[in-house]
Amino acid sequence: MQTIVTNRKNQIILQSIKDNFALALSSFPFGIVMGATAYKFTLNTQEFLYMNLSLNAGASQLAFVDQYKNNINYLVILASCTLINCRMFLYSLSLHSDFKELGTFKKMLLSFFVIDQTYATFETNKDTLITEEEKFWYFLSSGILLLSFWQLGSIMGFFAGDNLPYGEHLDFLVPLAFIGIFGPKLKDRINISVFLVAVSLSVILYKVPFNLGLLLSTIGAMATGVFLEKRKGSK
Amino acid sequence: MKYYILITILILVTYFIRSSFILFGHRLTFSKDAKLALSFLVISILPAMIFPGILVKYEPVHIFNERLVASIFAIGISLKSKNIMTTMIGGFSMLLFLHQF
Repeated sequence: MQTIVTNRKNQIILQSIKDNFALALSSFPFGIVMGATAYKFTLNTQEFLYMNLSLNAGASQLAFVDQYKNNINYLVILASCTLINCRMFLYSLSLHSDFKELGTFKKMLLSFFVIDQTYATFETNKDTLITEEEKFWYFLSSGILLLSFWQLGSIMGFFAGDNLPYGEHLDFLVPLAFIGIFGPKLKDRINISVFLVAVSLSVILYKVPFNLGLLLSTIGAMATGVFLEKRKGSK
Repeated sequence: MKYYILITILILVTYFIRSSFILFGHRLTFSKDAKLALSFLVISILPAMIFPGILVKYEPVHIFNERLVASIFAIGISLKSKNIMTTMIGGFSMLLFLHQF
């Protein structure tokens, strides 16, 4: 019995690595950008490693480094970085029902890995996972894999600085990886409408401060989805 | 020292955001509408994160730029292949191809 459980666990970990590998590859150049930026803004090694190993939140790290070195008011720095990370409330809200019965320690552990990529692949592939334990191992493995590639890229970017030969277009791999996640959903009219609303609102609200445009456009697109789905149901 | 204090606060706040509903959400109940809304989260948030960068981030703004064309091409590939790696390779190749001209 124990062997069957272990085999299933290994199978899930391998599946998670397979599902997340492309995303992990895309997080590598993003990590290089992060490391090179920290290097450019003259953070020392300790400062950089402390932030990078314990925060695990790329976009807000970039915002933090940029504002900190430009002597922006500390409260403004904290507020803007927190707002950038506010989308994780939505991820946490969405994930809570998948891990309801899990022990507190496991919940605490997986919470550290709640990022865009882990959430997106988990949501796409969770139907193949039966128990909460399986979901936990899948999520944890994806988090560790993504974090490893991100850390490796950041450290290379930091220590090699501007000397690292990376193309000007490598940052485009992150949007492409995201397209690979949501692209297959663009098959029915409701999802296409939600997508178009999200794109339009995010472009219109792009200059709203503290990255609030992202939250507003996401909520607007989700509301559109609910409206259209209910209208379809009432017909 | 101020740097470490700031980063530590940010670590704690970010962790609280991430863990909030996962740790304490079992006490909450959600309406049907809220659950339906969350089913659209991926298709709402990912495009909203990437398309401003593709369409308007870089000055001067060109709505029909090579990244947009490569993105549309990548969407087509992902619809056909349903594979992230194939989408990345296809979209990136298209970008490099367009960049030649």
